[in-house]
Amino acid sequence: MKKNEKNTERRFRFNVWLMLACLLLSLLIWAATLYIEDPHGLRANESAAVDLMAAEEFL
Amino acid sequence: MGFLLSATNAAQSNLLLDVFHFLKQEILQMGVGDIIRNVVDILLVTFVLYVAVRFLWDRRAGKLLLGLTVWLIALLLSRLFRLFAFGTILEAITQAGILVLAVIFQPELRDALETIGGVPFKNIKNLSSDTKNEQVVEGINAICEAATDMSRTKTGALIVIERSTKLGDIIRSGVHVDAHLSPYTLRSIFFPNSPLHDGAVVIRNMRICSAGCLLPLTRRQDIDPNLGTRHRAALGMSESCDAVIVVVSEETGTISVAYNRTLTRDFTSQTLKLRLSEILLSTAETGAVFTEEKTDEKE
Repeated sequence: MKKNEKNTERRFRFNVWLMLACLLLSLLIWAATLYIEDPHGLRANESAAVDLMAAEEFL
Repeated sequence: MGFLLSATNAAQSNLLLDVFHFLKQEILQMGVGDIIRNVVDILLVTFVLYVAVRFLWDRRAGKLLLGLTVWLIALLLSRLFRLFAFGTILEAITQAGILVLAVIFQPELRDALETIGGVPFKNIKNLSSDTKNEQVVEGINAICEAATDMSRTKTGALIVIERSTKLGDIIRSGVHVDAHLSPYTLRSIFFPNSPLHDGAVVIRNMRICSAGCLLPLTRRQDIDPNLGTRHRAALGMSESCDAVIVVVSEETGTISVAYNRTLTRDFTSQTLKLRLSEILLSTAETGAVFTEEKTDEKE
């Protein structure tokens, strides 16, 4: 019975760590997809602003 | 070379800073609705990942899972660092790979979909582990019926039911079977002079995983000298893991159970069913009878 309780505790800890690892991975996936998709066009605006500045300098 | 490395490091740190600033701007621009939506998004992805990992882990696909994870990370990084050639190849192979995975995991996918479709939402956790009492009860009935029949005919048998301690080494010492657990299959395996009758049967996730397996013998000197190698092997197995071992004696037809370093003898069909239910059903809900992790603890 004692061994069963220890096994149960180990399984619980394993599941907790697995859940945390999945959470971390999902945060990374979320950040990466947000950066790639750029829903609000922040990166596009920034690069457009950089291009505009470069064009102004050129002129 | 040092120049190239430092240039690469500089490029990567610029990219990371870029991503960090981008995320900071995005988060600052978010309204309450957007925050809730993104939190739900993250939680859903976490849940799907967790269920997928547990699902594949229980099906001994841990290495395949690791390979898939590495593959997905490579795909993500190729898009992040804009490695178009590498990314194109990965994506092309991924599209074909998805079909290949569906073919390989067709039985598991079918089980998963039937589980989702056939039970209330609260039982979706069963998708990740097959902790269904019905399966365990069915398995216990099959083992008891087989043990009783073999006891009547004095057919020697050694049946190991894996629990939380993985028995990969023991399984590999035998012949891979992966058959439905039924009294007929067990009796066929232990039928005298059949190719797999020597050795033990290992049951994993209530399926006959392997037959003809070699078990470690007990080194104890204080056991009944009348006990043969079969019983010693059962006792030895129970000393090194938390498995339950059912033994049928070839000489006397006695049914014994070895569990937690103890060998108990003279079971009838009813008492065997009770004993197995006591051990296996009490831990079925926590998934112990469907192995999840290896324990290194030895008492």
